[in-house]
Amino acid sequence: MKVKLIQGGGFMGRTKSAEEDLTEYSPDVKQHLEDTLEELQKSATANTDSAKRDDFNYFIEYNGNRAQLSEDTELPKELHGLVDKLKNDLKY
Amino acid sequence: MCTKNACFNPGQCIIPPYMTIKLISASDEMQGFTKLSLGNFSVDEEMRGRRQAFSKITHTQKITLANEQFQPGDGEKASLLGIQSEESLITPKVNREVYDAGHQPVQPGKLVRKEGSAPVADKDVNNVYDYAGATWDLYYSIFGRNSIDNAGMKLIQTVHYRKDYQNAFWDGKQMVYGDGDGKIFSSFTSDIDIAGHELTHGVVQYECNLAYQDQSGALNESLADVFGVMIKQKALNQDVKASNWLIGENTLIGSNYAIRSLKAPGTAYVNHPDLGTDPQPADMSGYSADPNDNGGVHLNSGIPNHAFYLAAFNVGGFSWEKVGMVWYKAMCNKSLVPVNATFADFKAATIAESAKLFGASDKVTKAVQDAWKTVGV
Repeated sequence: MKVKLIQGGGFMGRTKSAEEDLTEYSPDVKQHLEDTLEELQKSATANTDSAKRDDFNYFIEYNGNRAQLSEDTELPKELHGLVDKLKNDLKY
Repeated sequence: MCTKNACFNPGQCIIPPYMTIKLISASDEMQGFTKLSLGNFSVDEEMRGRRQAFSKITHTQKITLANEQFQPGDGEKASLLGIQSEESLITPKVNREVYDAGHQPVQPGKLVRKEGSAPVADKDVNNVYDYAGATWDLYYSIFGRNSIDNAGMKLIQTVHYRKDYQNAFWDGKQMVYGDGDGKIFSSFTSDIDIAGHELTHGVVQYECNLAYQDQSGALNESLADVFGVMIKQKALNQDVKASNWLIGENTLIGSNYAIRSLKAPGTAYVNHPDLGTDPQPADMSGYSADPNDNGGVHLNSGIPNHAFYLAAFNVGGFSWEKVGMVWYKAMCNKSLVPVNATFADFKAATIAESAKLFGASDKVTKAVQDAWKTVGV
């Protein structure tokens, strides 16, 4: 199962993405990922309420689910390494 | 000679009533005001005269003109000089502050240059300081607007945000610029139109406040590009023929690349090794919703961008003088351009404002109508 991070928006308006195969990751990471996605989907609010313009939008997709992240989203520490790796791997 | 209510037929008179600007003169101060008739000038003379006259009136008069929406026939009613007070005669001035984030995710960061201080060693700091000044100047000298909020708001900008940050944004209160990665993007402080774009997001926020989603979001982006390119043209004193109508030509690395083109959306970069080809549509046949970009706000902005270009180019001269004024008046018309405005709403607003400014059958209004028709709106 793969997890995908998508970066959209920004002044350029072009999408970047990165994927990571979680086969070798611990079940703990996968469970945290599923729980985080579920929580993010529940608390999702339209980002059009924000006054920010040209900021990046981040989305995470896993196991058929998709949720939006923001720069301020607090992730469980178990996911920090994974998300940092995905951010570093973002490509157009 | 125009009479107050007879200026709607361009065949008879090209000068709309709002241009009969009343100037104060020393000898007439006690009596009220002096009328300055711009008479039967050519278009160029008319516009030069308007700029000169506009540059001489006070801030309050400019604001009043803007607030009065340049209503035809309201020239005398506005009685600009009647509302003068000693306080309002103070000329507004730009107030800028530039901060350095030191490549950290902090805002605003450390103050490195403030209004009136000398240039510093950092080119990025000086660039955005100058660009903000040029932006303030266009809004004030042409549209009578005193800063982002029309009330003298300080222009706060942060440079060197994060490390290799490939973006610039408006956060609701200030502008933020990244340095780029040095491979695909150079510093986002490299283009005056990008600074003008971000500052215009602030102006939109204080005016029609278009929601950042779907067509209203694409209009928000388009207004930022339209005024960004006008700010560049004004700073370079370029007319519609001299301008390249590009956004971000120095920021996207490579001599053949820019970030967007108002003249030819979809051609700002072609076969770029990392980005491929500019996906912006020039008309509604290419409209598409990108779920990763608020419904394609940076994509579909190409459509109203191109409408502005077509109208301005067909009218000729300096973009900010006629079609730019129409776009500004539409942007400030909250009743015609609601928060969730569609392209069709903005089209209607520009046609209505052009008719008010220049007359329903004037060539400017015709050019605006034709432009929207060409892009399929």
